[in-house]
Parts: sequence; C-alpha cells; structure tokens
Amino acid sequence: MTTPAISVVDVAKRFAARGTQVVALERTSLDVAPLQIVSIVGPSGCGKTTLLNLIAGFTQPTEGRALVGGRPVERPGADRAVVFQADAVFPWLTVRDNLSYGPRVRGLPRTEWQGRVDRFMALVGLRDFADAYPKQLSGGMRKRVDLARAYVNDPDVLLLDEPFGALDVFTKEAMQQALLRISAEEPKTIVFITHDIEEAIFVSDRVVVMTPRPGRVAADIPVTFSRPRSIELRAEPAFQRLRLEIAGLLIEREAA
Amino acid sequence: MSNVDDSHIPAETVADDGDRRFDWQRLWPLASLGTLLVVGCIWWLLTSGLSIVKPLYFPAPVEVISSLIRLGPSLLADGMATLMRVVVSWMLGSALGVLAGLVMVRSRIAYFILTPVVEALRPVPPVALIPFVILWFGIGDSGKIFLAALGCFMVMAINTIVAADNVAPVYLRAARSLGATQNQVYRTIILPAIGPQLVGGLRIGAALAFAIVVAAEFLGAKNGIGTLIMLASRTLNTPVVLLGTIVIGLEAFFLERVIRWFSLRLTSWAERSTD
Repeated sequence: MTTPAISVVDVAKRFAARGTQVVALERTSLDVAPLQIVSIVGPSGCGKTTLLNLIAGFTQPTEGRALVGGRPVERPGADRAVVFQADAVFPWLTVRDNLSYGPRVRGLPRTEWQGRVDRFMALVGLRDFADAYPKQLSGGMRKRVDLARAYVNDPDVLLLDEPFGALDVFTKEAMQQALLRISAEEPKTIVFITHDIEEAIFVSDRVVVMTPRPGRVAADIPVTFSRPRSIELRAEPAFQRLRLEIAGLLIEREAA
Repeated sequence: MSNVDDSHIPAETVADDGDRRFDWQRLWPLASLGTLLVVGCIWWLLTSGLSIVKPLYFPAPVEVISSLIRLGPSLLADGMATLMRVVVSWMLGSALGVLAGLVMVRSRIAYFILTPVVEALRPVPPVALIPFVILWFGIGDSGKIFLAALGCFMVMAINTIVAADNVAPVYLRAARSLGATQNQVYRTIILPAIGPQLVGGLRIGAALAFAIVVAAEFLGAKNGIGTLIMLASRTLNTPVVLLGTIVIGLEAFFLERVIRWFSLRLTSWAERSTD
C-alpha cells in the first residue's frame, strides 16, 4: 500500500467560547489515497469545514495531527490549494493575473507557468475573458477562475470547501461537470466538502458522512460508478439508492 | 458556456443596442453651472443691484474683479505658494500614514509602540501646534508642510488600519494557500484591496491640508493666500479677503478633481453601486 496523500490521525478541535468549551471536531481519523476524490458530507456544524481547515493549515488541531505527503501540516502552503464557497477571486487582478498569481508569488519563471495558465484558461472556457476583471464575470465564471487558479499552481492536493454552494442549480451542475473534466485531464487528490449528497456521489470515489454535535465520521462509503460520468448517472437506480442510503444515515443520526 | 451576467457590465455598454435617442441625463452636469450662475446673480443683486448689503460686509463682484486685476501676478504667486505647500504635505503625510498604518497592522509590537503616539496626537487639532511649529521651523515652508503632513498622516494611518481590518479573510487565506508569504500578502493583497477605501481618506486629507496650511499662513508666513487674507483684513480690504477665499475654493476643487481622476483609474476594478 502506498503512503496516503492526506493522513488525519486522531485529530480533535475544541474552542473555548464564552467560558464553555465547544467541541468542533471529535477525535477523527481519515486517510486519502493519492489521486482519490473524497467527498465529506454532513449538515452544518458537523465539523467538516474544521477538518478541511486543519488540512489546509488555517487552524491547528487541539489533539492529533494532519499529514499531507507524509509531512505534518504547520501552516498554509502551495502544496494544498483551497477553493472556498465565498468568492475568493482577487477583484483587482484580471482573469489571467488571477490564474498566474500562485506561480508569480512563488517566484517561478514565466516559461514554467505561461503554458499552464493558457491551458487551464481554455479548459474552463475563459479564454475570451483573459483580460477581463472579475466584476465583469458572472458568479459561475468567477468560480471557474477560482478552480483554474488552484490547478495552475499545481498543488499536491486540492481542498474544496463547499465550492459550488452559493451557485444556482444550473450553474452548479455545469461546475460539477467542469470539475470532472479538469480532474480527468489532470488527476489530483481532492477533498470535497459539501452538504449536497448528489453532488458528493457524482464527483467522488468515496463519500465520508459526518454528523454534528460533536462532529465525527459516521460512515465511509465507496462510490464505484465508472468514469467518465455524465449527468444521466443521476437518474440511475443505483445512484439514487446510494443517495437514499446516505440521506438515511444523516436523518437517523439527526433523530438519535 | 458563455453565461455573461449583464448586471455586472457598466450600464453604458448594455444600453447601447439600437437605442439611439439622445440621452438628456448627459446634460445634467450643466445644472451645476446653473447653480453657480444663480448664486452669482443673487450676489450681484444683493450688493450692486439693490445695494442691500454694505460693501464693507460683503464686497460686490466688480470690486473683487478689480482686485484680481490689480493684484495680478502677485495673486498667482500667493496661490501657487499655498497650493505647493498643500500638495507636498498631502502627498508626504498620506504616503507615510499609509506606510505606518500597514506596519501597525502587520506587526503587533509596532502597533503597541505606535498606538500611544497616534492616539495622543490624533485628537489634537494640528493648528493648535502652530506656535510650536513657528518656534521650531520659523515662518518658512517647512513648518506648514510639517503640520499639514501631520494632519494627513493621522487621517491616512487610521484609514489604513480600519480598511486593512475589513479586507475579506478569504483573500488572505487564498493567497497563503497559493504560496504567498506574509510579506507578499501585504504587498499583493492588502494594499490593492484597501485602495478604494483609501480614496475617502485622501480626499479628507486634501481638505484638511488646505485648512491647516491657510491657518498657518495666517499666523506667520512670507507669502501665500492665508497671508494675503490676513494682511487685507487688517486694512478691512474685504474684496481681497473674498478673492483669497475664492482662490482657495478653486484650488481645493481642482485638487479634488485630480484625486478623483486618479483614483477612478487606479481602482477601476472595483464594483461601484453607481456603475
């Protein structure tokens, strides 16, 4: 067995809030194999974003540790790109400058990233908007800039924190297709946080179900549908059975 | 694939399809000229036309114009002296203020070292320091520039700290995850992000610099509009006093326009509710 791309070992996260202790994340472990796409689903408050922030290095665990590429996570870094739900496209940079931001701050020579910028710009369908400012783009287009910017920087793992949560249904489906297309073109280890069960099944190889208060992993379900996946997959009985199974897990825990 | 959302494109580009009727809103700025004309007429009526106001209390337009002709080049020299002091102090003070603000946001220790100084000086009206400044610098340019720069410095330091606190954390996190170091985050994220918010401080600072420089010229200077007004008021030469204030008004208006022109170009990326 190869070493996991991401390894979360017995992490727990507690906050002190107004004198009482809040458990954001109960002792949790999770391994993600290289080039695997793992979704983490659960209602708000289940600690899924906390888990992602620990892997990204935005916060430190109270207990346990997170390893990426075998090295403990100490701070945010270019090996772990993050795409957020909120619009994180830099509005003062053009689409092209947003895409090349990562390689430029890291001081890489232009020859190394120029081609990647053009390639991913075309892949997300933004070639005609290279010199546009984000304010001229729709929400879906900005999200594609965000995704392409993460890919251009060539990280080891991609952390997506409800990236399509703020988009309308049609744009969301187009974005899921775009993600599948890009990840087929250039496979990456991806952790995908969402509260949309269908979205989780559709994009990933594995769905981790988390439950709230205190946040912990309730189930770990493999998704074996073959790739490439098209929108028709969602109508398959097997897809819907899996969706109901996961929904049942969440409802059951909620009631308990 | 191309789902361009029209609402993000400035209105002009959207409205420009086939609708070729004349847009009367383009003429609205002329209303400002109309206001000036009306005020001018009322001024003339009250002083010369109906002679309701005595010339000593408020001089007639014709007296002001004759003062303008009489003073000629010396008025220009005074005007330029004041404008130069304002522009130099404003640029210097604002730049240092932004720098100090960024340093205070960047470093906790710098914040605690500088806070007492800033907080102690901030509520003090800079004009209250004029006696000291005349003692230290004499009545030349340097004292006035120092004082007005101090005023602009305070405005911009506070403006920068507040604006930097308001930068969306998601930008900082995104930049860090893309490999930016802390210092790069300040240069490539915080500085451009606070740009639009600094414009307000720059405009307030420019107005403040005029107030301080003119006040300082009142209390001791070799030249400048403040000095001109001061000397004229001693001989109750009210047309020159009024002329001086008009020159200050024109200069402030001009500077304001320049600031607005530059800021619109430098922050053209920002979304505006008036687009």
